[in-house]
Amino acid sequence: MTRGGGWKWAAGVLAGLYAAVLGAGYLAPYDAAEQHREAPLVAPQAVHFEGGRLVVADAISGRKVAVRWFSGGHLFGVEAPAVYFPLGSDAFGRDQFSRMLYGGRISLMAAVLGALVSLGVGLAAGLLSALGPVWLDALLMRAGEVCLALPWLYLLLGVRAFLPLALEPDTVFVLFVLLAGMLGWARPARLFRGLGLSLKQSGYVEAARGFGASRWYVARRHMLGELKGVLGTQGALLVPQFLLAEVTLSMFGLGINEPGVSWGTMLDVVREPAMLAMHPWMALPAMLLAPVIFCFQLCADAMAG
Amino acid sequence: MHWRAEAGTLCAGIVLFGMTSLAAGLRTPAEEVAKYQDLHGRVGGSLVVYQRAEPKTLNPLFGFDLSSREAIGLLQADLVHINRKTHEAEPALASGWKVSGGGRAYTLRLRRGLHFSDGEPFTAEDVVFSFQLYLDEKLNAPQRDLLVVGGKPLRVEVVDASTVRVVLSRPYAAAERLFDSIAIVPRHAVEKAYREGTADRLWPLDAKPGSVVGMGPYRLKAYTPGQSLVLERNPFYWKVDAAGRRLPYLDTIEFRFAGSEDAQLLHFVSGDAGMLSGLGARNFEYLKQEQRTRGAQLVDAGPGLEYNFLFFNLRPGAEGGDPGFQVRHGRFAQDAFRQAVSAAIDREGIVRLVYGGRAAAIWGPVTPGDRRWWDEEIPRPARSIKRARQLLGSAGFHWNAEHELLDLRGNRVEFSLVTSSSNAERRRTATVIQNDLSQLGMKVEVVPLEFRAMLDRVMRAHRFDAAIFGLASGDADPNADMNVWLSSGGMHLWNAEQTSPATGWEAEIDGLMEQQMSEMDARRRKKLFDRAQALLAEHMPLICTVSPDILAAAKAGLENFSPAVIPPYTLWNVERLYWAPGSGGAGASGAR
Amino acid sequence: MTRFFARRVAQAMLLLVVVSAGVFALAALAPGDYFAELRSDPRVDPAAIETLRARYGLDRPLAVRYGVWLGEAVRGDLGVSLAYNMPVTELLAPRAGKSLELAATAWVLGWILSLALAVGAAVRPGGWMDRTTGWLVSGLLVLPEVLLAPVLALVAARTGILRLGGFELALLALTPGVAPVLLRHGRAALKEAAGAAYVEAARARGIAGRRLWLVYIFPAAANPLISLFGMSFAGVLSGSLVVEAVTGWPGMGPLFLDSIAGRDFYVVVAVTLMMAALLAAGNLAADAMLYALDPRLRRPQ
Repeated sequence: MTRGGGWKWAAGVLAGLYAAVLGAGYLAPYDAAEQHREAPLVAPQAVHFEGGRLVVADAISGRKVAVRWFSGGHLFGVEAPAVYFPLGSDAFGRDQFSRMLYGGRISLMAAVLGALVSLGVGLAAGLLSALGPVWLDALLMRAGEVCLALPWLYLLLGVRAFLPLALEPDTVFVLFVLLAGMLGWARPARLFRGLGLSLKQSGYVEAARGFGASRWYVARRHMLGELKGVLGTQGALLVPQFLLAEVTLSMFGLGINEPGVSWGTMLDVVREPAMLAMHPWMALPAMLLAPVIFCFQLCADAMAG
Repeated sequence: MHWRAEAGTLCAGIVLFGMTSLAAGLRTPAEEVAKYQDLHGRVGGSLVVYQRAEPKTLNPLFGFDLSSREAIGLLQADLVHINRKTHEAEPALASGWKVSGGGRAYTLRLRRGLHFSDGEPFTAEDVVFSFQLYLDEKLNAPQRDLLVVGGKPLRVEVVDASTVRVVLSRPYAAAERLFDSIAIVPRHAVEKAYREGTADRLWPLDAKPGSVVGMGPYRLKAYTPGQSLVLERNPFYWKVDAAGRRLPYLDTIEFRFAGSEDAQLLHFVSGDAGMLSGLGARNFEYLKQEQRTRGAQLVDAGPGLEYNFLFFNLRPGAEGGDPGFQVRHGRFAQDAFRQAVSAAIDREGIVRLVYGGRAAAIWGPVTPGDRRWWDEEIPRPARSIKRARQLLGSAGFHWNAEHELLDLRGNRVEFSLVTSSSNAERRRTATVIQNDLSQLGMKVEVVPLEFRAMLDRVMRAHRFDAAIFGLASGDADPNADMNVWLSSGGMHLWNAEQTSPATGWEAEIDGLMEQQMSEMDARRRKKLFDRAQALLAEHMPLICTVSPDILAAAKAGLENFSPAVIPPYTLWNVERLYWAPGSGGAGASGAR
Repeated sequence: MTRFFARRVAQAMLLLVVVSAGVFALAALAPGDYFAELRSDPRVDPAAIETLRARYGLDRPLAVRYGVWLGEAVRGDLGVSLAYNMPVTELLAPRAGKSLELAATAWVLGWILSLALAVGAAVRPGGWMDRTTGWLVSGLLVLPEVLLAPVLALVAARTGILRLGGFELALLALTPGVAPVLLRHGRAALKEAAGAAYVEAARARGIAGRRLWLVYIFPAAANPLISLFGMSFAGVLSGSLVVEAVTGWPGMGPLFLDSIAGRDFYVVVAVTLMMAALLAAGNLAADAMLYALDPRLRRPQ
């Protein structure tokens, strides 16, 4: 299979994923916050095929119940009071599968958003730095170093202190992703600057100047070609970085708050060895993240090529 | 009035007597050691303990974090010590004491012929000097406030070479308990630094081993930054076992630093650590299942002194005049509202889901672990959404078609609930409570804040609606928590530092607490405190939830391992710990 | 040349001043200070807390504190740790050595591995190496050190293969986090260069094998890699702080994380300055290399 086919396939998967998380209300059997306190930490449950029907074990009583389709406004589920957790349940008896779908809404959106902001600011700063006057170059690059070196956690904690306590969970999170995105510009900026300098060195810019404005399109074409490569590569690195940023943010109370859910908050359990050893399926979201990130990579590669 | 001393007040099995002379090489023949008549251990071996964080200092006046306190506890000794198992005050460097003047004067008889870990003799002058340090206004050690009774500092005077008298400005019940953990420091080693005004910088971690001097079972041997703090047995320690052998048994205690509770756990699983304390419920459960720790001693000592609770901000005019807060405050201030919240909270659910069953549901700040003060009579009603609805209904609250709770004026009942983001258990508790209260139609925003940011907001700025908090009494005695109970106290969390009590019941509690503080009869004292507990449970300024169990683990073969519910949970009886023949740590570093 | 470097060193000094001022400002913004923790102890009098704050000058205005600190910092005194009551330099020196040892090893290892794999991938685009590295990058990106380190620590504790707190475990947890960024960029840069028109031309002239790579492809791919080289070390070091705390390597990681959470101010400033200095040094080195490689960068002053 060639690369060309690969990326289309990957884009298809991603599109499907975005559709799935947007349709979580229908696809997920439960609400993300719904607690079934009688059935905490249930392992993923197998589905059996019996008498022409799909049958599962009730997570509370263990009795066999039939899977119902298209009922109660959900794609599938079992009749209450029985409960069924395809990917297991968390410590409060909340359905992991439903939480993954709902959690993807914020995670997938915020990650891309954060990456875009970082890239945008980084691109502008990098090119200005490379093509602009020397003093601007020095100023921007040193500013970038300051940004990379400072413990921004303090800033985030400080900003949190000034915000009112009762904020919608999503608002807080989007706010911080934007902030993190803006603060994350320094690394890409340096790369774009390097690229800008090499473009200059290749002579296109001088040539364009020499030949007059009509030749700008050559530079633009070449520039865009090479820029796309770095943009793709950086984007492919930044998206997963922002997907995981909320793990750290929520450690300090800056992430998504209960009852909101995101993949980052679900991954928090991975840091707990006891949880990992006793209930390894709780790390399932991490396993599923790998293919998602691979799809992002393939798309980025296609963009770069 | 009689000498409250030795045999009469000690827990079964420990008998102390004086004038035992032993240990060749000591200069004074009349060394008044303490003897454990029931103790037949084995000398030698080493114990490795992983602490969560590195200790910060070995200075007993200024070490206030957990790790420092744990290390200092082994290096220093106090006049009177609270037995972590029985919760009673016992003779330590003082062999007995006498109360006179209606509870105003304590005469303490010191053990004779004892020595500091550098071999210098211990005298009454050292005691006076130590109190001088703790009480110095310029130094202002964090524990100073404890020794200020009735607005005046204790006065300590020498009666003779082995007797001191402590005078209080007012009668104070169980004042001997104040002496627990007040380290008696060597005047000869500290006075110079004190005179030069550098007593606060005394004994940093990298101090020369010989320069850190105390009366504790151990003394400093070596420190490697970021890695380990090694203590060796104090050859001058003043306790002996049944055979007259000088304690402690273990040659060395090696503290290493894990960095996190989870890392502590892993070091125990891997076999590096000989002992593990302060375990979370989930980690405890895991150790029970883990193959590698099969055979280890896993002990659930039952609920400790920590009480977790939810409380509303009852301070009028907090939130800087925010009109929204004024409306919310009006609801919080209603007893029925707080009682309804309490009735709706699924305490058993929290115990089961958050603590894996290793906690006790509580309805007041005195936990079942505080055996002497726990009051059976405090009502402990089961969760009832129905009762919560009745309470709200009778107070004028009602519900709309979407089952949302509205107050008298038709406003939606919603508030934010602050909790510390670094405490996983409290965060999970908040998730349970949020869900519980949503069943009453309340909208609760859970806001985890970073620990210090939260303390700043709740304790200093008072900008919050409600918070989940946990406090652990420093001692199993009501006097240790006066700051919480009194309406003028700085830790009167729901409405701190009031100039005059805001409510009738707070005024009544103030009176009861003041009375019990100077009541010298233990039974009458308990009655007074029970009444205060009942008032608190009735008006619910603190909606108590659970008290977590104290969980600890040790390798098989560590004898006398017996976790208690008062800190230090596991090392309180360090001098009695020893390795059974052929067991784990015995061979590790120089068993005999 | 000399002038270029003199200017850059001056800029780096200025950077350190700005960074230190920034940390002071940010720390003042974050609520609570080191002694806030005492507020949760029912037995501690608020007045005692105020005395402690005053003793360490926390009650003075920010600008004054910064001025005093800067004056002393110039003379090599970076202040006192509030928690340890010990000069920061004394506190950090032994730990920083351990951190640098770990980070440097992981950094070198990460670069060697990444470059080898990137070359392998670029030699035959679409080949098995190329595809494997693609997966590898995705896999490693999902498991940054925050997630990888605890898993490895658990495995180490349960199997006893690696010692918790040992160098090997920390290295194993840190290196995979270093690799994907380098690998991703290296692969992209090399493939880009390998596919460039003048490399095709060289191929057409029959130049192949080592000569093609050393003379044509590497120099063309060097630019972005050098930029990355400059800032990657500081990145590895900051990653190592997290890894150290989880795997128990006795570097400055646990201390730094505790200091941030505990508001142990001067320790945070010192560690941050160290990171900034390393970052500035790395960027300076990278610029020097770019400068050496391409005379056209020597712009008129």
